Amino acid sequence: MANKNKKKHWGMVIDLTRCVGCQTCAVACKIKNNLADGLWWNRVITVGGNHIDTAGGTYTHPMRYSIPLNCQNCENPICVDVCPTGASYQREEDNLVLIDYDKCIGCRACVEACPYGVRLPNLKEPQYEHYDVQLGSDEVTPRYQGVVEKCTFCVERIDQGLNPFCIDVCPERARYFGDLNDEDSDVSKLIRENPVETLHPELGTKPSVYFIPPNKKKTTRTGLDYIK
Amino acid sequence: MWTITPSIIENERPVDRFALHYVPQTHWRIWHAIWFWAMGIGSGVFCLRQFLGFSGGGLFLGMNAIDIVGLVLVGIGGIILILDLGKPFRFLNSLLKPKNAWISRGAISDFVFLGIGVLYVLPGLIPSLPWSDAVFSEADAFSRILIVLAIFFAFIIMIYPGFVLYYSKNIPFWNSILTPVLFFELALTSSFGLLGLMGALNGDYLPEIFYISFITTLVVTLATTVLYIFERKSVGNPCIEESIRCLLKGKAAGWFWLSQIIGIVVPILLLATRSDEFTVLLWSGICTILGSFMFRYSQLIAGYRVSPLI
Repeated sequence: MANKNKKKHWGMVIDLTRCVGCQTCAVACKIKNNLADGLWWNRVITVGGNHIDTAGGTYTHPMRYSIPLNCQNCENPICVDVCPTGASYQREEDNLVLIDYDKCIGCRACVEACPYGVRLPNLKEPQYEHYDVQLGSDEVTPRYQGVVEKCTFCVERIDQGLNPFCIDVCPERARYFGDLNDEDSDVSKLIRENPVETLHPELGTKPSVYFIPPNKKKTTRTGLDYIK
Repeated sequence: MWTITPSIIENERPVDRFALHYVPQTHWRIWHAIWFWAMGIGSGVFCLRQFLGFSGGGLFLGMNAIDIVGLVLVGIGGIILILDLGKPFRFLNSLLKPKNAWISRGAISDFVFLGIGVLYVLPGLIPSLPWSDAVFSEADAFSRILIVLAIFFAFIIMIYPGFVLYYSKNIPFWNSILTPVLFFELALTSSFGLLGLMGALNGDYLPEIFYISFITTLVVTLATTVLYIFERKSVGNPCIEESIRCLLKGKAAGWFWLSQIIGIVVPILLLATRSDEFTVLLWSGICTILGSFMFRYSQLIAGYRVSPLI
């Protein structure tokens, strides 16, 4: 019961043993949020080769895995500290790191401060080369020039009680979302049961996105077990 | 888990964002270097004139030309900063968070320094004003208050770009406390250069303390630069090593080595020989002013982004 009184702390767990690097989450995010050309709030990085979807390593020891990378929604976000305007802020009720586009001056201090490289300045007038219709859900803020953007964990969907879009579209069920303060949530269970890691823990940012490293998953549960 | 060393690319294409690379930052380039340089030299020369009690440098509309150049340079730096924003017309928003953000502290300092600076120099233009624009040792009480406040904010202007870089955790090459120290020293060297240059052009006598302080500042800056590179190298971060490679041998090398030779070594030699004071002050001034800009630009070019994984 005590957990119910705590404020929410939204987090993600990404199971790299299941991620196949299909880029579905990246493309879905781009469409859903109506992101302009060249902007990706969510990327799936290929680890191994020097190019997307290529293996690296040496003969007999080739390797390739993928890491979805979006805003880590840190508990101690450096980007919020360096923002001179207060446009980057942490929402009080759930610690989500968001950007007020009406306050942002586009100084890019947050872009240089974020150690995960997930903040993107939208310096040009947004262009959409491949389609001429407005994509994205109605609730999404229109994209405009001169401000910095980043993944919002699909805040408008969260506020409606839904998962971020990347969670729902992942065909491998590699991404999980929930309240880290709720011990019964999927994410809390996964974090308890697996040797999870966060990115750059030494910086003290306390990311809210956890990764289950490849080949280190202990649980025998499958993705289907987490479907309610 | 993260045992892969990312490859290095010099020019990032959109598709490269999907593989693990070290890439140079591209958001802060020449305009930022000009901003850092102009603000450093502008605020520095104002302070230096007060510390040296130097009344020369010529007059502009009755006001001391060194102060005017200093204020104009800070103003130009501010305008460049504003024009470089994604939303320039919202620049006043940058004053909102001095508690945390160095950009905010710097922006406030710019405005306050300019305000106080203009107030301080005004008696030169309007002699009927009840305070003087003399240097600190000869000034009245009100002017002294203005000078002390202006020096305080000028000091913040000199160091704050260094702190902005220091807190840019995406670029570990900049995350050294020596970065703001270097910015302060570079502001001083170029200010010495500008003050000497203006003094020489105006035919003023510069005291011995000027030459001694100038050489000392140049030597200390050179030592700090070497220390900075070794300190960054000692961190053992491959991204920093890539930045150092870029600084010493890569794209930034030309600017960096020129900044050290033209901006530091040549002025030290010139000042040490003191053959002809006018020539020495003229060339050491030009060299340090250029060198100060080149170093800042090379430091920006050499800023490689940390890999999100390593």
